[in-house]
Amino acid sequence: MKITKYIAACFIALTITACSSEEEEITGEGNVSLEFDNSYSTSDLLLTTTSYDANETEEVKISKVKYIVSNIRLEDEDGVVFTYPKEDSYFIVTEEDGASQFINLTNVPAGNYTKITFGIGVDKEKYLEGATGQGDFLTLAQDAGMMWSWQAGYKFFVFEGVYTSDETTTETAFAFHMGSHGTALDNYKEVTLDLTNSARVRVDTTPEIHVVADISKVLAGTTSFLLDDAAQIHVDAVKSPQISTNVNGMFTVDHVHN
Amino acid sequence: MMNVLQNFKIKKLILVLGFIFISQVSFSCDLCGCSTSSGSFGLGTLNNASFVGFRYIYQSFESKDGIFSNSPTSKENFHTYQLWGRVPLTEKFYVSAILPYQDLKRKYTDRAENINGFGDATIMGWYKIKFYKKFDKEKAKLYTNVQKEPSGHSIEIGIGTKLPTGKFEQILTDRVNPGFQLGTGSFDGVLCFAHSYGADKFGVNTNLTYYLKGENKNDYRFGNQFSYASNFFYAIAKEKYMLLPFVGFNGNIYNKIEQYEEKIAKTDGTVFNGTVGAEITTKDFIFGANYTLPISHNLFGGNVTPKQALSIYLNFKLNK
Repeated sequence: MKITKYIAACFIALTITACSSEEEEITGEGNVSLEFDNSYSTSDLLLTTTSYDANETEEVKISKVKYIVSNIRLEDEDGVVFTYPKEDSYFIVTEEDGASQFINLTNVPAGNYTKITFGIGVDKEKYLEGATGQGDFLTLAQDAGMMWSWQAGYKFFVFEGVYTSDETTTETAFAFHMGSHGTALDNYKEVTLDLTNSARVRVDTTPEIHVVADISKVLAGTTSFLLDDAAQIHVDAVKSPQISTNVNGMFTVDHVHN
Repeated sequence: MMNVLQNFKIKKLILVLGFIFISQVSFSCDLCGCSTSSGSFGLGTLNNASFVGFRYIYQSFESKDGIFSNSPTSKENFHTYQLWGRVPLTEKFYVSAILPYQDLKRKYTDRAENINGFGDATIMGWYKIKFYKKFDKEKAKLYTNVQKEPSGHSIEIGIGTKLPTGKFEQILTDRVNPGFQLGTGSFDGVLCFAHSYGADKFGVNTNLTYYLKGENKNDYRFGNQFSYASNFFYAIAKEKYMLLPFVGFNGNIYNKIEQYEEKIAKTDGTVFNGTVGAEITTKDFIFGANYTLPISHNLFGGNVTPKQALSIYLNFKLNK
């Protein structure tokens, strides 16, 4: 019977292709590209030109978004954690500088990573190493305006612009600068995110982890901030930790390219 | 009065049904499978015809070039040229094949992309069952030679495979519309069930197809796909030809794409289309055209918007 032969041929063809996956051996080291993409809600963040809705009647035009990303760790599918060398694990992401939004991690052990952890800011341990213990990062942070002074410490997060509201009809400057206050207040916090799909690091393939930071969460996160109440928040024992929590809540992994 | 009203209701129902029914070009990189059988309606003379044909399909999409709501869009124009044919092996069994050539273009706001080459070929085996009216015992008593009378219903069951003759490029998977590929790079199974009913002047064709997608060498597996299509047609017989205008609907449901056996977010979707067209059948050839417009859709997290599609085909009968 012809028909059965054809059907059989089809099934055989399908079965062969379905069964031909082989176990691969994972060895060596590769790279990971970590992209930090800032948005405002679902829109790509545009500086200065675009006015965004914030809380109540407030509208913001953002001119500056900068933050320190640090202490990157990757966890693989078996729960094994790879900690990126601490001395190389401090980066400044600046909205105006496209290149700064791509963090390239090198010498990452080949593996299938499913989780990422990073800190926003500089941890106390690093800060306590003193000015010389900061290496090149100190100059980098100073040049980027991410320090108050050595005594006051690093600015972990910088957010500036102008706003208007029903109460404030002329454009008025606002600035949120969040960081630890010397050794008095520790605002360093870490974020752990599940990857949407595994980042498969191999000697010859560099996965790209695309992280989105929703800047609208700064004003409307766990805590809502009305700029009419306080348009300038720098060193503040109550509000700085709240901003720090909001900032930590703004990160999501959109996707991973392998 | 009651009768008039009922008649009116029935007519209206037929009209509405006709309007809902639609078909044929599926919005995806898979333009294969059942399209071989639905490409011509198989009315009367065509039932056991073998033919070779040529079909041109134009599809357009708009895709988001980026992950944000204000990301720029790219415009995609897919041109597919298909060589296809159908050969009966026995009265009930026939085979069909399609070889597509793809010319895919994408325009971004600042650049353009173009890939072209052979797409994935499909080979299908078909088994056809015709249904007959109940044997009339009263008639049989009166006449010695009673023929079986066709009921107008027939079903066709097809099983086949789509071959990875089209190139699959891993780099293209990073873009938003995963359909921008010459081929899936995989051996896929195609299962099809088709029903057709033809009365004197009108008929209905319905196709259900399931695509079982295989994994390709990049550990990439397109989501299994379910396609459905139904067309309502009307036959206008002339001396030398027959004109078949038709109206119908069709749709596709896509499962999520998997890579490394992990489902990729925002890669599933549905699309529901309306279609209108017409076919001219003579004793030598069949010429047809149809136009497809999406009615509702949600493709790839809403990031891909199907626009219109157009298909034109010309089939030559081989056994006159």
